[in-house]
Amino acid sequence: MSWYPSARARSLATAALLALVAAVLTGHAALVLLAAPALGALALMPRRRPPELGIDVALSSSRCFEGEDLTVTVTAAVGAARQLDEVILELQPAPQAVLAGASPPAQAFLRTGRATARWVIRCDRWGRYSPGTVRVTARAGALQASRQDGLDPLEVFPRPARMRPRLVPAELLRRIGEHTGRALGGGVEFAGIRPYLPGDQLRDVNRAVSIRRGQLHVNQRAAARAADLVVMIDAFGPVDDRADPVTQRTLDLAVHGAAALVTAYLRVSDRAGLVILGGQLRWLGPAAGDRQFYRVAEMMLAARYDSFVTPDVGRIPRTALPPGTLVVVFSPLLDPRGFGAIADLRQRGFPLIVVDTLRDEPPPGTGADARLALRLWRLDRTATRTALRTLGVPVLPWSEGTELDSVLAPLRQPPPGLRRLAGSKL
Amino acid sequence: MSPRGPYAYLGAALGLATVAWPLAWAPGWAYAVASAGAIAVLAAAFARWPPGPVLAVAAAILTCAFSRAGTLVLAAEGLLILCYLLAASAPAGLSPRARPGSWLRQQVLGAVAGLIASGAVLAALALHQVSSAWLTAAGLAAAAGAYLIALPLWRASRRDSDVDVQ
Repeated sequence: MSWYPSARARSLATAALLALVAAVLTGHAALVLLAAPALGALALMPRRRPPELGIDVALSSSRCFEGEDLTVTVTAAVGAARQLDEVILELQPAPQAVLAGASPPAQAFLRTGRATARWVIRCDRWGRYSPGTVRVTARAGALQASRQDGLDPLEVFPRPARMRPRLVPAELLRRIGEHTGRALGGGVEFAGIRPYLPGDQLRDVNRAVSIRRGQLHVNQRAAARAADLVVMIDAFGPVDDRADPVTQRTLDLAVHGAAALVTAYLRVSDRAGLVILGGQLRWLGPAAGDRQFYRVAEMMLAARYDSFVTPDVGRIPRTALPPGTLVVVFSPLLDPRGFGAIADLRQRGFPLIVVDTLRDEPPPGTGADARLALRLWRLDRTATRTALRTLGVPVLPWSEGTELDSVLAPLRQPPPGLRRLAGSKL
Repeated sequence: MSPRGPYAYLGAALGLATVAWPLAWAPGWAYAVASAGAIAVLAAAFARWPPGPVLAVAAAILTCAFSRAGTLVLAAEGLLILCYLLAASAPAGLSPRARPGSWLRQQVLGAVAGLIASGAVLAALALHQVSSAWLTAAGLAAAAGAYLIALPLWRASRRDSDVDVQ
């Protein structure tokens, strides 16, 4: 850290020089009185160069969820048992983070050889970014040193909203899970009644039906199976820092929706994967477990990527997109490349659901042309949705103030057993 | 506008006093200069404008240079300038463990040094003064030399960088 004349020394010296010059130019010797106190204070300041100043910056964690608190600890220490007149430690949070604790952003320590300041910051926006900048300023006599350093990049995962995994594909996996499948098995949901066969367990005997029919009957249960879910995020367009607020909002909504879905399905032992449609195609095959959530979250952090490449969904390997997988696409339906990818997937037989993440409209103008343009834009959006519905892809708008669970509610169906009961005439 | 810290109000008051004090002995146009100085004081105190204090002091010196103020008035103005520049360089916020008056106590030594220097100049001015062009040139050179000697590490410190960041 380099030492240079402090701001105080510079201002005192400049004031003294101005007064002396004024005294010389005007020939008014008494003006030296304006410079004398400043020169006296300046002469008294020690000018010996202090030893090295070591700075240690530590973050309590390198990853967190949105809204979580993190502690930033900054320590500045000077060796050789020397003391500094002032050490000022200052934290300037990034635009995505705020100071959460009671500590002021700048803290000054007087007559000390070691200063430690702690701040609590709260990251309000997902992404991979530096949560702030630390500035250390030390003053020793007439000298001062200053250094500004950005904090290490932090991975802030989107906070998933709580929801229940109620949407399941028609074909479930042959793995034990928590969804009611069509096949009979050892689950808990009622699936039907049949006559008793040797080998059936006695606890399955339906006493009411057996007495009424005069023959032993047993209950059948539906198998509890796991499902595969792949979430697609339409990240076409400039979604990096150059993006407009509307694009940022649609991507935020898509990422939060994807995080909520993935968390909900992974919680019940399903497998979840992720595909990001945006220039370079990136995917993560379905897998189960908590570790998968973090892998998905890390991939979502890289969703802000701009490219003009049209992705080829045919390049997605079978392991990343197994046949019969339920695919939920979060898309603003603005880029034709996204529409093409959705249509391609549907034609390949995947059960698809599109969640429309666009909540904004172009600003309405006052002129007739502007009104006509807005009307044409709305018609174009309607045509896009209709084209998707024609392909058999439901399009669900995610409006303001609505939770994703409610958005997906129209597509919920009762379990197969209940469906049979609802359709029977008993 | 947000204050720089607990000493921002002290700095603003001292700065306003610095630019206002010589006005009683100054010509009419000096009020415009003092107004600009007052704006610089407020900008430095509440908007953290770094050149503010020096500009305010420059306005005050300009006012004094064309005023009919006596030596005692100028001595008081010099002390006001010193106190204002000390207060203007106060830290924005003290650490929670620091006592509120500790920073003020640190400045006492500088203020006393300024007082002694002011007294010495007052005593020198009381002696018989001889005017000479050579003396004027020597004084000007001494002032410039003192300025450069007071800030000796400015260029050297810009070259080397021995950063120790862990």
